[in-house]
Amino acid sequence: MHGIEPDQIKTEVFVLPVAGSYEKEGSVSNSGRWVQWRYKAVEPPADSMPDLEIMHLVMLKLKELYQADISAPQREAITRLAWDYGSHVTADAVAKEINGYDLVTGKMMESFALLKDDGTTSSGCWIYCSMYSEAEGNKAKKRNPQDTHPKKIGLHADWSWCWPLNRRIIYNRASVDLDGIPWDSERPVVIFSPADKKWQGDVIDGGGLPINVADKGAKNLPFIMNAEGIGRLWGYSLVDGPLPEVYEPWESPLGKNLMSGTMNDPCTFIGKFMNERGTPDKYPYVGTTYRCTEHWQTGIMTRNLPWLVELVPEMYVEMSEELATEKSIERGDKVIVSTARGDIKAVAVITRRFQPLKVDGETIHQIGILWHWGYSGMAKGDSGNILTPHVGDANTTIPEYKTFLCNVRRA
Amino acid sequence: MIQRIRSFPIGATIITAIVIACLPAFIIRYLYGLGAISNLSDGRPWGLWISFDLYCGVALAAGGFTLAAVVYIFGQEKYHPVARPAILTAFLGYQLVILALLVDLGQPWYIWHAMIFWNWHSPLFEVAICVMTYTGVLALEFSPAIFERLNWNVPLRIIRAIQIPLVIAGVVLSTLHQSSLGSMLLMMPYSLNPLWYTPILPLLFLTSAIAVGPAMVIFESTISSRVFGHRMGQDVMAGLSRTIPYILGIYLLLKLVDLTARGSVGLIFTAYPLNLLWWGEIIIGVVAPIVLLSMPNVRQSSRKVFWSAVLVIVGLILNRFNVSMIALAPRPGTIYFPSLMEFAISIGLVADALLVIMLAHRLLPIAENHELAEGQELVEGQEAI
Amino acid sequence: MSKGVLYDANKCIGCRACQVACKQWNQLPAETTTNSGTLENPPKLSARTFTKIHFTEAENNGKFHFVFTKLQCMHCEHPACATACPVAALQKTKNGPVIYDDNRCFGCRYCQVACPFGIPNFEWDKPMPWIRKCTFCADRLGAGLEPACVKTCPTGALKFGERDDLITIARERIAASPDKYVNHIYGEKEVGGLSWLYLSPVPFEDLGFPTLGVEPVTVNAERAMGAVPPMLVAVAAIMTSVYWVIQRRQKMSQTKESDKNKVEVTK
Repeated sequence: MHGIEPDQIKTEVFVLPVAGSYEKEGSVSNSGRWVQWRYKAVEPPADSMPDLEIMHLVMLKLKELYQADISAPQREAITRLAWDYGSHVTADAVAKEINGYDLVTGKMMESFALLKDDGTTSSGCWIYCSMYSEAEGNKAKKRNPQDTHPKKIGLHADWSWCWPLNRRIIYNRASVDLDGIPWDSERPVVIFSPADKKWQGDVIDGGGLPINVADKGAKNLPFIMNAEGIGRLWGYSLVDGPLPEVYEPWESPLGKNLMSGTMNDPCTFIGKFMNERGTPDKYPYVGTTYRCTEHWQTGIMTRNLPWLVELVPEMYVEMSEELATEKSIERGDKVIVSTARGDIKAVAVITRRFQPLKVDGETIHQIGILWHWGYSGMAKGDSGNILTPHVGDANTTIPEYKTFLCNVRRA
Repeated sequence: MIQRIRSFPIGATIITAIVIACLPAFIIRYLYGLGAISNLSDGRPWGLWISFDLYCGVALAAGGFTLAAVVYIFGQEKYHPVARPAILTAFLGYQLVILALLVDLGQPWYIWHAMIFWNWHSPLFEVAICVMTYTGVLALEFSPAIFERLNWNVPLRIIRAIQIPLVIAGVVLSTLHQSSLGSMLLMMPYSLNPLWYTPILPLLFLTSAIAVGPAMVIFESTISSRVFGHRMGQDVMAGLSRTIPYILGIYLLLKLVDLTARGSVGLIFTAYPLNLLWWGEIIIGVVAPIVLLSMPNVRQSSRKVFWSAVLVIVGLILNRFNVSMIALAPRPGTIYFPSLMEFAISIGLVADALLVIMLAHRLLPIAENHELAEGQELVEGQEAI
Repeated sequence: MSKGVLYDANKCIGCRACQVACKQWNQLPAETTTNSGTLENPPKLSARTFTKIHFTEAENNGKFHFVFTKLQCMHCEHPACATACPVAALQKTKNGPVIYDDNRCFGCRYCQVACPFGIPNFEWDKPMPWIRKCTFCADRLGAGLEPACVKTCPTGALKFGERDDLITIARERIAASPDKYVNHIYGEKEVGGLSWLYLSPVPFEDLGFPTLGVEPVTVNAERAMGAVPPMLVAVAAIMTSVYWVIQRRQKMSQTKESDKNKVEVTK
């Protein structure tokens, strides 16, 4: 398929059994910039181990081998690599390294502002500096459910820890005026107290006093990551900017863009490999991919859990009653969904939750496609991601998997 | 002189073959469970065995208590010759019920739990206790046949002494459990079709059982007179057949008054298709026998009486199947028809009972000219005539 | 005194965590299922599945509703199964749960036939089969805990508490959002009241709930069983009297006969 010969590829792959996320201790991030500590809930099955432990054992062995072989190239990169975990590595020990050590005193770095470029400090990642402190230990483990904000706006700053410096709402200086008075007195994020010249509430951006209170010349502007310190109405670092535009996806059912002169974003990344482009005459319906509650990602864990497989045993797609009638598909029928890149087999779930769309006088049907299945496991099936186009967003390269052209027929 | 019974009639061979052929079904049931041999399911947990072996089996054995009452309590001596065969039929009918339960119950080795765990509110508990006790009563009522054969005079005298209390006990117990089989269905007002569901179901069950008792005696006596060569008195036949229309008449009246009082009379025309079964039960099992057996020329003909009795029996079987299966809605989405092995179990049990009847007629003084008259005893060394 | 659970279909998201929590707590094996064209599985309750979520696409007042309903034993106030069971293997406890004792059961399956909701299920594939159904986590309740399904529900669609309090809460919810709820608490009065109470945005019959009256299904059977002792006495008395009367009449006619003979002899 597509001219790939596995035995001509000069890479050897070892697949080792690792523990799932509930079978080991470590941290979890979210889009709120939190680092939340999680504990081991169950033992991993059979011989699987946390990947941290596997990496530790591999490195110990590598060090041994490199130490013994004086002729190995660039061996100091391995032999002199700091690897001070002892015989048993813990995620907590790694958390400390990511936070950073004062290499002179051996104590935890308290802030990224104190990091130096003279070799006296270390930190795995500056944004996580202050996550671990001498006084409070591993702040990602914090679990105080109380809202500690003075006006109880729901900040809950004592539940886990977020970067940077546990500042829950970044650029929060924009929520006060030049005198430090909050724009919204009911729900202030930060509150300046003129009496003792201190900020209350969230961790103030930049630490300085309000502009009208501070010394002349001090900037203390809210948008600290912009050179000019203030917000921007449009992003001039966007490759397809500066103004936002609505484009049709790479595979669109429409002949023209109803909201702009240009059909597609001209800066889109378009994959060259296994990326045939479909057209509405052969693929008249819009396909989208999504998840179900019971399965997770490729399903390699969930499709091996009997109670979850019982709930959702087979790969399925969803469509409207109208589309089903048009294609003579009945509930429970096996169907084949195809795109220019391939086809898959699935069970048809027909639902009134899908409604045909009326766009520019045309009826456009949508098909919902799951992607949790694969070729191995207790429950096998085709993956929806065989169908999706390899097209990436112009700025982020995030793939356009959620809208493409497809067709469906009874199997 | 004992009348010569043909040795090894072909019938016995065939029936024995049937019993043996049905044996594997029993073995599989105990080794693998009920799902392995039946089409029963959570949607239809009761099927052929409950409808036929339990419901029909108990009702068709009503000849025992009705005849015993007629002879021993109401003093109608002329029916004496058919009393013992009726009791034998009833005894074997109840054996069949118990054996069928030993197959149908999920854990029949715990059947004795009903003797120590009592739920007085449960109609099925009532049925269980009464059936158990009544089977014992029937055994005792039948025992004289065995004692006569074995020349055991003392036990014979004891049983004869308690004959009347036994018969009264038999009537009481039968009244209770024949009606309680109907009471069991009172728990399903939402599943049993309104053409059949009524608070007076216990009374209807009892009445139809009393009606089918004499019909079964007619049926059984006619058959055994052909197979074993016994003669049944003409006046006995006529007498039995005369009572049936009265009882069926009461039954019909009860049914119609009940339907009217509940405002459900229209259903006999509108509740298609189940109303067809209702009409079937009523025409075949009630109206036709009433009409036929009211006619003297029918009652005088043994052949016509026999077939009228068959109509009553068929109607009764249809009624019991209607109330316990066909008009009793299963859980939604369930379709049930008995499996081949379910039929094998029921057929095997009936064949087994027939074999025992044949053996009994062969070895024991069952028929009229074999039984000792009241007060007679066997003298040492004397053979029964 | 008696506990209950209030299920609010408006809060349920159909995640089926309750199904899995029940399986986990009761250590029930997974069933082998297929996708028959619905998101619902397993298709029915069974001896291995004590609870499940039923999915309905319904319309009410011109609005489309995707409604989820949780099915399990209703733990009725007047359970048909407890009255039906000849050996009292099923019993209603004061705390609410209808519990099952496999030390008594012999597998007659009357409970299956009697239950108006079709709940008790049987182990058809076992040579030593038992009846199985939701236990209302009676063991957890005994330890002062909530049922496993209630504990795991992420949205609060399941609420455990005193039955009377739950009815009050249910009425308050309906009064606060009359456009969101059908004005009926299913289980408040049905067949004498259930421990499991339901609120829904669409009529309950659209969700497959049986339409039941307020009278417990046990009423007629209880009346019939109550009549047993008097019937016993009455029939015994009548039969004894009839026997006695007929015996007397026979004796009288025998005496008349012998008197007649005597007269004839003396003549």
